Amino acid sequence: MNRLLGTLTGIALMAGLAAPMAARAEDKDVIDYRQNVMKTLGSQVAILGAMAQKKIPNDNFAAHLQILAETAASAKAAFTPKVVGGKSKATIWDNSADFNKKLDELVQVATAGATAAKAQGAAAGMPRLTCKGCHDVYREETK
Amino acid sequence: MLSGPGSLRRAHFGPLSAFLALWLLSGGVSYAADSTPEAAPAAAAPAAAPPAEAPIDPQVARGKYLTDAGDCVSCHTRKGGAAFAGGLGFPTPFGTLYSSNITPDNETGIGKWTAADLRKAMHEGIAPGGKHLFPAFPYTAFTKVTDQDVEAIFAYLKTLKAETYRPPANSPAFAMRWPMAIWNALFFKPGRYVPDASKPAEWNTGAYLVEGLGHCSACHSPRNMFMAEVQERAYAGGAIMDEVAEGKVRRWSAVNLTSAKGGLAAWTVEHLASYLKTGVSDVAGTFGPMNDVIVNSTSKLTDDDVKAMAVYLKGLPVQENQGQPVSGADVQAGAEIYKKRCDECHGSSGSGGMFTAPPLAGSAIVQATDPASLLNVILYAPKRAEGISYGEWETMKPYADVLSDAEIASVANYIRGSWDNKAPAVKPADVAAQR
Repeated sequence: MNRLLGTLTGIALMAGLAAPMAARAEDKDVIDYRQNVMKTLGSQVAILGAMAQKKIPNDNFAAHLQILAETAASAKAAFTPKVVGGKSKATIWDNSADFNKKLDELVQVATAGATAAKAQGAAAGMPRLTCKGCHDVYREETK
Repeated sequence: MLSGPGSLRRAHFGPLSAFLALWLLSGGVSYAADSTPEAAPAAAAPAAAPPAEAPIDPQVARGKYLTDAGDCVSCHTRKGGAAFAGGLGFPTPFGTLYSSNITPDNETGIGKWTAADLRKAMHEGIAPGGKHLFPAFPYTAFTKVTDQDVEAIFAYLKTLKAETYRPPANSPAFAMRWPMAIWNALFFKPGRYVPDASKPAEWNTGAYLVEGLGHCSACHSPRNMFMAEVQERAYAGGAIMDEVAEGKVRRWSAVNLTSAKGGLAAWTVEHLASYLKTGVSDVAGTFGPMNDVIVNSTSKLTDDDVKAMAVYLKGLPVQENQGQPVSGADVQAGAEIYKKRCDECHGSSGSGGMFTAPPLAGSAIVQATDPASLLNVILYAPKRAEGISYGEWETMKPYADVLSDAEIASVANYIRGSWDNKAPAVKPADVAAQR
């Protein structure tokens, strides 16, 4: 009986200890996911910007815009779990309606741009992406 | 060959939009190809005039354009004060000077002045009554402006609303004006702009604007101990005092405008024209003291005139920056701070990006011998000009409360010595001086 109690207590204790550990690991994964999505967005706009400024050949303009549009569309899922950290401010979830509206706009503009670029290539021009509008409000500075 | 902008009638949006239409329609100050040294530059006749109620004197309209080209309003307007009513303080090593009221008020402004009085002030630095002016008023440049253009400016100033306002008295050091006669004899060369017949008309137009009304050298040329511009180092970069943050005046370095590697080598004529017209180009955006110059002056000039200025500036004799460039361990010490704070936007190769930040590699601000402006940017963040679109560049944050003097010096040295940039080392004391 005592052994059983002891085992149960042990399991309960372990579960109690393990739960926060598992949660922490999960938070980190969520933050990594977000950061990797943002890095992909960042790398694609860097490529597209260099193409728009004619620093590099623009043959793959449509392809990079397509990657950007699809990654932007996936970003919403990455920001759905409320995990404050990384560079994400708590206001993302406090003002989720505004945050999601801004993200939707990015997806919309990038998707329309990608569709146009698929038909016309680089001649379609750079869509009016707005990264800064969101970063100014919802991105924490490195301390 | 020389014709005024033609009569223009006031549009129903009011005089402002009529003037706006004039800027758009006028051909600027272009020198005709067959200009003689005496010939005054003039604007081309507009193709059409908007619907109108009352005529606007073409000389007044042209005077407004030239007044914009001279950026008169930026210096002759105090914070919160009426435009052109003066009272803005200029801190100098000898004390503070205040700009004068140039509205046509009889007692406190230029109401009693004649066109000849303004000519004498702009061409010789002498106000009515024989009073010597100080070269904070850049008559050293305005002396190159044609009589006809000074008269147009006068005609425009006379149309302004008279503001009764007397600026504060200058610091005591400026009570005596006679020493300026000696200063003028030593450092001032009066005379109208003489076109160079061997150069294209566009270059001459640019030279007339840059050297005359634009008075670019007033800030962008070094000055000697008597505060006179050093002619042998013209446009090699200078320094001025101006606000870095609300109520805080610090030193700013004005970049080397010649196409030296530490100057505008990385800029094309198109970059320069875009910067002057819109405040932004692929290589830099306006901040700090240039904001007023862009917003109040160059953005209001015609595309042809800003291009002419760009052409002239790109043709300036190259003046390399001076001083031993920072190198080795002094550069590398700031690598980690750069990676943590700057890399994300300015990039590991310092090339910036359309959606992140302007490039640091090849930047004239970064490589200026005098690091004041670079340090102001890091400490206080670049103050953006109102009404200017900087595209998708991120908003830079101030680091005054985040990094120590040593850390800022360290990261400044990293960007001054990386990616083929060359500039002398920054010391923590240099940073402290800008706080």
